[in-house]
Amino acid sequence: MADHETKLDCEAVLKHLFERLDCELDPAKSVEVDRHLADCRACFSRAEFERKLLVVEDFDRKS
Amino acid sequence: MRLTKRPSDAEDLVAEAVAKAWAAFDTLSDDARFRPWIFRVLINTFRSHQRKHGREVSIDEGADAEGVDEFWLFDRLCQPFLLWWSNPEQDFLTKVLREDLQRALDALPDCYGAAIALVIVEGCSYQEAADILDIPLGTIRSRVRRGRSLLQKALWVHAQEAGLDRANEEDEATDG
Repeated sequence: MADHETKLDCEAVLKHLFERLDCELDPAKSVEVDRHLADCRACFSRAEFERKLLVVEDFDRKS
Repeated sequence: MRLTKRPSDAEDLVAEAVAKAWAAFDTLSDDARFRPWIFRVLINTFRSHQRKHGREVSIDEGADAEGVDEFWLFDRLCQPFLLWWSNPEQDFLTKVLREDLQRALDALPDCYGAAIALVIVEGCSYQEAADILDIPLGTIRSRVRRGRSLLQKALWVHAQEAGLDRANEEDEATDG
C-alpha cells in the first residue's frame, strides 16, 4: 500500500490518466499516478488499454 | 485534409500556407519552433479561407464542457463478470482497424479533430497545440479529452454495427 498522504483514488487517477499518457502531468503528480497504477490492477489494466489505443490512434505518425 | 475534407482544397491550402510561410520566414526566431510555427500559418490560412467564403470557422466552434457525457471504451468492454474468463479489451484492440480510426477521426467535429490531430497524430504538446490554435491551454486540455471520448464512442458504435462486440453480447446472454 502506498502512503495515505499521497495516494490517489481511482477516480482521481482516471481524471489525470490521459494527461499522464500525453506526458502533460507535472513530475510530482506523475509519480502519484504511477504509484497508484502499480498498486491497483483495475486502473493498471485501464491504463494499458488506453496506452495501446493511443498507439493505434497514433496511426499517421507510426505509418 | 482533416480541415478541408477535400483533397484539392487541401492542396490549395497547403500551397498558400507554404507561400505565406516562405514570405514570413524571417519572423521565425527559433528554428526549433518551426513545426508549431508552420502549423499556425496553416491554421490561420484555413481560417482566412473560411471567413473569405462567409463560413463559420469550424475549428473555433464547439462547446468546451469538461466531464460532460464522457464515454470510455474500457468501461463498456470490461464489465466485471467478463474479466474472469476473457480479455475483452485486448480482443477489441486486435479487431479495430486503422481505417476505423481514420473514419472516426474524420467524423469528429473540427474543433476536437484539430486538437486530437495536433496532440495525438502530430505529437504536439498541449502548449504547442494551444499556441497553434490560438486558444487557452485549459481549452486544448478539455478538447483533447472530449475529442478522445467522442473518438472512443464512434469506435464503439462502429464495433456494434460491425459485430466486433458480438462475443461480449453472447457472453452477456449466457450470463443472463
